[in-house]
Amino acid sequence: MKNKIKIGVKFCGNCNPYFNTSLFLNKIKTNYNTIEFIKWDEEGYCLLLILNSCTVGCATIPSSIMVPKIIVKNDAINYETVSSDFLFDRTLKTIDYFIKKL
Amino acid sequence: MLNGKEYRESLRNRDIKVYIKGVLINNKDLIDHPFVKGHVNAASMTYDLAHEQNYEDLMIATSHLTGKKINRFTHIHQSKEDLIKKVKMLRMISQNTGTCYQRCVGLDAMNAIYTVTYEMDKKLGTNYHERFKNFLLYIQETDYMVAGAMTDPKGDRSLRPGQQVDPDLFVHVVEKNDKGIIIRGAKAHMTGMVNSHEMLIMPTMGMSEDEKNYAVSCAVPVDAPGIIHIFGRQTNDDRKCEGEIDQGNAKFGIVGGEALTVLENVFVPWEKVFMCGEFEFSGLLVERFACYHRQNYGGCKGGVSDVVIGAAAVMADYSGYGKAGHIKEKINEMIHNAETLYACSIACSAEGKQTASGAYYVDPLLANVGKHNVTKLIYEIDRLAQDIGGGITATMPSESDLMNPDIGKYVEKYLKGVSNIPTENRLRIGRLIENMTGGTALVESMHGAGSPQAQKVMYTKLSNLSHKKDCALKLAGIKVDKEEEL
Repeated sequence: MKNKIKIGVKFCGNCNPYFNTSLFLNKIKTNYNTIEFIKWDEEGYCLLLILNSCTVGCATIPSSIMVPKIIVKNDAINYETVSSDFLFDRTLKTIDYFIKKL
Repeated sequence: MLNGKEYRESLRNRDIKVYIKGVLINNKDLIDHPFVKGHVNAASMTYDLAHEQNYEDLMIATSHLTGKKINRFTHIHQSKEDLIKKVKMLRMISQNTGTCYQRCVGLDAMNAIYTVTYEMDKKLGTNYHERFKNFLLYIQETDYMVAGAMTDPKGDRSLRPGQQVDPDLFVHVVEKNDKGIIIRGAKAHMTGMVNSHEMLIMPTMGMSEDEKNYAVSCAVPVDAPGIIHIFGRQTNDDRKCEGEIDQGNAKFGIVGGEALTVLENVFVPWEKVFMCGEFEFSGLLVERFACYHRQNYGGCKGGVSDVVIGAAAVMADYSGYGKAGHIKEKINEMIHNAETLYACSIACSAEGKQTASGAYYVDPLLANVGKHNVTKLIYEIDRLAQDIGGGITATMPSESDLMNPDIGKYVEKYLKGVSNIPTENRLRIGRLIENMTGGTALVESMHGAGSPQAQKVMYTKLSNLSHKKDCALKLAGIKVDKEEEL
């Protein structure tokens, strides 16, 4: 049986949250029944999702982890500006894009 | 890393002697005492949040000694990023507690002693740094809470330590032997002391050669023989023995649960002594600790202010004037002040530098400016919160009145704001404003980490005034002979 795809998740420290990154992740999870979301310091994931809850985006990006990274801030994905209204949908599309490339 | 429950249980095993209102409290029950419980809950958050994925990026660091993951409150800063994460961590925890969680004092003491013992050993050939690293390893391994103990009672402020009528008004060494030292004196205003495991004693000021016995730094368990703690009173503290609403922040309380810690001939083994007579490094240790600690205030008070600003805005909504122009203006003024505090803490961290030990240190001028701002802007933030909150925050009846079957209906009826909000909610937010903006909470902003004058005296030393004069002279077209000193 083919191994389940795993995505690592890292949060910022949430000192100034403009949106709830935990709920955001839970909502993402409901869209991917076949993907397992695990903590960033576990092993075996092929994509790292970094969730920052404000525009600063201070979550430390682990440089030693050599997988594609999706860096979400409340106003941007991978440094490209995204309106908060479309942040969730654009995050899903970005995840889809990277998964197809696997 | 401990969690909050494990931390609380570990405190019950101490043989600590704490007096509250003249009564010696049973050490097994101390953390359940109404005066102490809230402060323990607040400190517990520094443990619990380290186990939450949402906060670990701020709460957890990697030990430079072992490579293991540790609670950031036991970490020696290894970069500017570490300094910035500390500030963000403090702001985040304050948003969750609305009050002081006490553990930063020990963190700052550890960083200060770490950097100074390294430099002391280099110059004097002593072995304090290795001793301190062993203590640090112990703290990182156990995740114990450390109280930073700097402030001496100081007696007559016009006299030096050795000139005091009572020599014990400054902590000093009274005996040395082959096993260790014996110290006597007291430390005042000790934040988090009664719910810590260890204390780190430091001199209260720079000492001179004839004050060698006062130049002492060491680690002591808070329950060591000869130590008693006399717990401080706070504004409205007897409300903690009643219900919940009148306390405002019933779970976490107000500021840090300070105590007067008496050291009556306390033995300290040499392996826990980190300065003993090296007077020429006492001033440096004070300055390092003070600046690390002053760095914090825009973080923790920024977070506390977030809660106060939120409370004022909610009160305005509950009372029906949330959309008034002058309210929005006042809320914006509060935000401006809070972010000004935060900006200084971030700035002094971003301008941090590496010390000889490898650990990072904040920019001292900006750290002092930040704490100095706290002595003023918190008062302004709280003044505006009281303005928005209205007189009700100071005059409302008690929780007992609200719950009284005969008169509760009148409290309910006449203290209601907008119709769809229960009166109890309005009273709760009013009490939160009352307790967070008055009395003890304000004094802590004034004097915690040093009184305003302690910050001002640093400006002349740190601000490069001669360069500012040069700038002015140049632009004014005044030629000054380099030989002529202004």
